[in-house]
Amino acid sequence: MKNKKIILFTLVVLIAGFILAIVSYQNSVDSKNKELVASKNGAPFDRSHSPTFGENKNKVIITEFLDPECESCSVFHPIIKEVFNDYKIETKLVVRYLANHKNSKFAIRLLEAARIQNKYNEALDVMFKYQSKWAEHNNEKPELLWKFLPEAGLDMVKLKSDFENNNIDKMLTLDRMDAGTLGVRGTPTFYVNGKILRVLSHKALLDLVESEIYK
Amino acid sequence: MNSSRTINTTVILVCFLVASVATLGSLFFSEIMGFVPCSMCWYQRIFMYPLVLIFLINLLYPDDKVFKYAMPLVVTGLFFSIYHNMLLFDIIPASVVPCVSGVPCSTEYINWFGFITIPLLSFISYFVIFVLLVFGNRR
Repeated sequence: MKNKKIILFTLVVLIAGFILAIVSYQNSVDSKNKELVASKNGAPFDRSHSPTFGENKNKVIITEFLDPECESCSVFHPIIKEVFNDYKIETKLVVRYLANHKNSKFAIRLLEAARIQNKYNEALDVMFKYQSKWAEHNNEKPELLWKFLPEAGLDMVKLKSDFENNNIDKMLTLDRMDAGTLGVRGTPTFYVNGKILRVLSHKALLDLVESEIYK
Repeated sequence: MNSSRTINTTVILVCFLVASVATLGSLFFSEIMGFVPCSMCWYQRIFMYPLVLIFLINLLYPDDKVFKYAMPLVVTGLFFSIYHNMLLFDIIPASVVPCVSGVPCSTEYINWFGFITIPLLSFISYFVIFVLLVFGNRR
């Protein structure tokens, strides 16, 4: 009987210690990010090279680490679109890239070429819509994107020449570096004014954005 | 034939503690701090996690068989951790080890005091449990 009490006590201590370690680690990350928001003129959350949207009346910066070939990004895309659409006056959405897949870089180059024509969101919608076709695992066909992208209303001749001329290496390196600073490894990862979105759900994102707007 | 030796409960409790801390620690590294485990780490995890339950069950319902059940797991895990550490210390060339999960097994996520790495922590855990079981069984 005495043994069982010791075992129970040990179990409680182990689990409590584990939870305590998690909470204190997350708090230290949060306070480190708070310092980063205050000190570094926006970076690592915001960079001048990145695609940005919204009017940012309330100075709320939503940072998204995105990869056009990532399936979770595709699944989450309608959610961020909906939340951002409701608050595009109050907030600013900054898209950062993490090219974690085989053809991510190819797709990002196309996206950046589309951005020159002001058709960034249209192009991204098309990429996610047909992601299962061009980014099928072990059967990737990135060249199919040339066939799908006219649907975004792009001038394909201009897209082709912009695609060939744009160099996104520096951009990707900086984005990767900022992700490293923040400890971001996967996509999609969201920050709202430096606060990480812990649960990838519509409600959690909306709560976090609204808590920053109406604080 | 006197093979039914009971290992002291305190020894098993210490084994349980070591296995639990190793398990929770590895989960902390991967789930909370976001370190991606390499394939070698996965093999060491596979043989460490069940030890927590084996020792816990033995603490709750003591019998004389725990050595038999725990030792194969400990020895296998110990083998992987020795291998992994030899790799880190360049005793075995890293190219011998295939890493499918995209993280080379020679990646050092932490380096406390200049020598404590995650594979070394794994080795220490396995080694302590191994020694405790062997000496606990002898007495």
